[in-house]
Amino acid sequence: MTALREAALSALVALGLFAPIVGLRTVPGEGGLALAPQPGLVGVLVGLVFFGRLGVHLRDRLRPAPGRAAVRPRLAATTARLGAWLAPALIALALIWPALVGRYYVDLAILVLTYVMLGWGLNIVVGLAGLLDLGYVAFYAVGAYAYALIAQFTGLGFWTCLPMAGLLAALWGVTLGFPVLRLRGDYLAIVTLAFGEIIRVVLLNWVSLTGGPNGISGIPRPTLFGLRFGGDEPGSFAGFFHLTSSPMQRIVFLYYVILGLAFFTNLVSLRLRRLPLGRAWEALREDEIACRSLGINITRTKLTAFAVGALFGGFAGAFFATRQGFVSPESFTFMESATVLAIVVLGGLGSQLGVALAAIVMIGGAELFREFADYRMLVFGLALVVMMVLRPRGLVSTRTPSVALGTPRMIGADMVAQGRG
Amino acid sequence: MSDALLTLAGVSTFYGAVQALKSVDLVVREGEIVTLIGANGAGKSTLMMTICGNPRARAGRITYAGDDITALPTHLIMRRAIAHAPEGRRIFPRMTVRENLLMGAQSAPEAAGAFERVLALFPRLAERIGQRGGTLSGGEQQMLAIARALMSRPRLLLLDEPSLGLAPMIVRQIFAAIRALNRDQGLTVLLVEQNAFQALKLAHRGYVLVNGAITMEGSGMELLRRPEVRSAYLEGSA
Ligand SMILES: Nc1ncnc2c1ncn2[C@@H]1O[C@H](COP(=O)(O)OP(=O)(O)OP(=O)(O)O)[C@@H](O)[C@H]1O
Ligand SMILES: [Mg+2]
Repeated sequence: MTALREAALSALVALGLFAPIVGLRTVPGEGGLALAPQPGLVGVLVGLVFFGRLGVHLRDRLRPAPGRAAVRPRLAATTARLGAWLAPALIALALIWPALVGRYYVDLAILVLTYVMLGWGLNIVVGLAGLLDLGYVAFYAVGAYAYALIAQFTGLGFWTCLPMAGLLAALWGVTLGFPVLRLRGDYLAIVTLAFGEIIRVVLLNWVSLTGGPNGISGIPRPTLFGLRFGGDEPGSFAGFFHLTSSPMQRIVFLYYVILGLAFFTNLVSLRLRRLPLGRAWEALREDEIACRSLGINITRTKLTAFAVGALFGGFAGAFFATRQGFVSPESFTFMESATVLAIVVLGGLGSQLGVALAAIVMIGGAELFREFADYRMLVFGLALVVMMVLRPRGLVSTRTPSVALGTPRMIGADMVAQGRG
Repeated sequence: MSDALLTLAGVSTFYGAVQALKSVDLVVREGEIVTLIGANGAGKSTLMMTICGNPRARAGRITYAGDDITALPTHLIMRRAIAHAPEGRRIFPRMTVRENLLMGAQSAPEAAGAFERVLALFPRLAERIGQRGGTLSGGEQQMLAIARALMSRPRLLLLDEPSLGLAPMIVRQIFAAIRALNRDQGLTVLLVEQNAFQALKLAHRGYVLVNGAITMEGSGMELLRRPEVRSAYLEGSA
């Protein structure tokens, strides 16, 4: 009975949402646009929601709570075992990817890897340190514009500008960190959201420096030890190796650049987690008061989390700029922050493998279903809802201890712990 | 048992406009166990937290080992071999026992051998070294909270209600551990307890806090004999 009532309620909410969004379609009519109602489609969607909710209820009924709890540890164990070979397999696949597929898929992989890197960067702030940051795109933007401007004004190459762009972004990370030191949860989220918007609006309006809405174009491309891509005269990649120049060379090069940057992000994250600083981040996420009474410098811990997260966001931004050859404020909307945050949350807050998988699914998936561009946001939202119903703690929800266990007996104790769930 | 390790002189603490501590004078001497008892909301936890500099004392002076620490930031106070096991355990639930303990050593990385020492004190934790803190039983969590505080090899341990919600048997174990630490390693302890009878028996000296002000002080046994103490804090437990 409650099942029916809940399903009906969900359907009602869905009706309210879909009726204006999907139910009315703008068609060219006399004297401008006219509205054409689409009751059929709305009916189908509302029906889907109704039976979907009913289905979720039934599932819970069939698998009562104690049974589900018993399933959990086995699931966790499977994930762990899966992770043991999935991660190396993914790395191997990533390394040989350009040899396997054509230009379109290499391009797509570059995009996915950019988000993997952003996800790993944000993961430090949100997943490890537990600081909900809704304005991560700000650092991505700072990195992109920093590279574009430094390269334009100084004529320095990508590899010199990259660290500068990263450091500038990190500086902005600290700048954001200071005013929000005392904030947590919702309040922190609001301020970071505003910060992201402020950066975008400044980029939009500071026309003399950033070119405003027109952005900056003609951003230099990266070189391989000074070898340019494109053309086959001496000093270019093709010329040096006596190859015929092809645009594919540059794309493959870009692919390996972002792959390297992503690996770098991952290695640094993994390494930091095992250091006192990384452990302090995680402890901060768990209990700030306990951290204080253990003599942890909360200020420094929070600021470093923001700074390191921003650093990687900045690197990713610089890469974005050099790949596109063009930046404008349009690329740095709140939607980007939301996408990266969704990747981190879907990935299971704190799991490196989970973030990578989530980025592949979300970015790769969204690109592959490009034809349904109109419904992309709908599918995106639906995917999030389904995810949260099926795996409320993200794709990879088990946290790996940062210290290896010493003796076999101790491993035994850990197994017992997991068995208890 | 002569020199004062920790001295509070006229310390007042406020939460906004509300005064939680009213000119508190308190001394803890090197090697002592001092118990602080008081009703709920008397300001016991506030007193401990004020020693740690969070919240900060608005008036008065806190001296530790001869230095004025009243205005020091919390993390610097905690690096002077003061450890605080706050009220309600506050272990890190998703981290393993080992990681929890390592967090305790964070402010004093030179404390070598601390791991073995605390595990010897609480063998239960050694058995569960890889288990997640949140899945420990209440008593084990309390042991972990104390063990974590001991990881920095403190000279002064501030313990806020270690017996909270624990069975009498576990409480006895924990009190025995405190006594052993004090006797064998000369650890100075300031203990806040609701369990007044056992805590005063354990202590060398005790203080009674009422509405933010110290109303009585004396040796543990002395306080136990006072009729005011008996009626207010020991009803039925003695
Ligand atoms: N952060 C805070 N903001 C405002 N008031 C507070 C705060 N913390 C404590 N208080 C108030 O200060 C007074 C003393 O609180 P405190 O926690 O020190 O009491 P306590 O003696 O430890 O009590 P209990 O035995 O219940 O733990 C109480 O009236 C409490 O409401
Ligand atoms: Mg208290």
